[in-house]
Amino acid sequence: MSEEHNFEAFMAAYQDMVFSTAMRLLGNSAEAEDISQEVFLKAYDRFAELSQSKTAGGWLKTVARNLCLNHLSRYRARWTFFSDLKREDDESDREFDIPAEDTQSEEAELADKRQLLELTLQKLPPAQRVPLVLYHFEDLSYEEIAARLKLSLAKVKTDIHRGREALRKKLKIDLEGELSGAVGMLPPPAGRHTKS
Amino acid sequence: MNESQEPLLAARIDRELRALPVLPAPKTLAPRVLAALAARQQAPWWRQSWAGWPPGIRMAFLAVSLGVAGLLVIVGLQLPTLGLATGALQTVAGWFAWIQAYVDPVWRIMEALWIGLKAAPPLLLWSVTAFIGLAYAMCVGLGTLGYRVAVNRI
Repeated sequence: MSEEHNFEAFMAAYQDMVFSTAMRLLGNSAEAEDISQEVFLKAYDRFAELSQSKTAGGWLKTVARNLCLNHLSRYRARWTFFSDLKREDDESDREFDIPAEDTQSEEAELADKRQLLELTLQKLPPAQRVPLVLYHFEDLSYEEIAARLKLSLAKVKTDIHRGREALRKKLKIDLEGELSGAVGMLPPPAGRHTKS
Repeated sequence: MNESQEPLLAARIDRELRALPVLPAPKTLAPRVLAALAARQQAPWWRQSWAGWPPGIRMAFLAVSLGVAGLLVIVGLQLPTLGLATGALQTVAGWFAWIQAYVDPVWRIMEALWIGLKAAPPLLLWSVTAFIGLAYAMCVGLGTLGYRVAVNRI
């Protein structure tokens, strides 16, 4: 099999993961596709190593994340500034184009719920979406996010909290039941080392 | 939501987000990458990255670069002993003499302003500073208002 064919197979194996990473960080399909293309062009330059490596997926994810953050940093001064001026209830007031919730089957309901969550995540303002995605998908701690985004720890925590609140409201998550059943102690979210 | 619910919410959102399936990449992604790779490979060697240059040309480029750098170092070291430094500096200064025509008036204006500032009463200086600060704050306020109007958030 030629190198081109090998690379095509490599791309087929990883393109969804790379695109998902970019899409969730950027919240824009066209930009996510551009970044994904850039990731695979870089991967091609190192394909001899990557094709033999078991950590190729991790390398691709890291490159995708860094390229997205670099891309966002060009606009960050703007979105950080305006995110500070926005009202806290902005997100909950916004009308999203969401699917109707009248499906009967459980599978369809789950798919709808996931679609709603994905859409809500994409519609979050970048100031909230980016740290939220870095925390929950990329397993970065608050401190790492603050350092990577060059923001204060307090701002990162506030933005993540607001993002979670927006998701909770949109998904109509009721924590009262969980609170009574949890008896205070919850395991920390998996796959992360330091959390505040 | 109260503070005690924050860890619960974090865990719940974490669970929900991690359960999300990967998003399918657009069908256009792979063809785009392959087209970009083909275009890159068809580009002449001198438009590719240094790593893509033919080995012979890379070696030659390295040798020439080292030679030029060495030559510059040698000339730099020899310049004072050759007595050319003063003349060379004068020649270079001559190239930029036209800048002097612009620098002089600006310098005089700055001097006049400085004298005026030193002579001005402190109250006037504070008033001017406060006015400038106020004008800046108004600019930020108007900019924010403009942004909110532009994105229909007011």
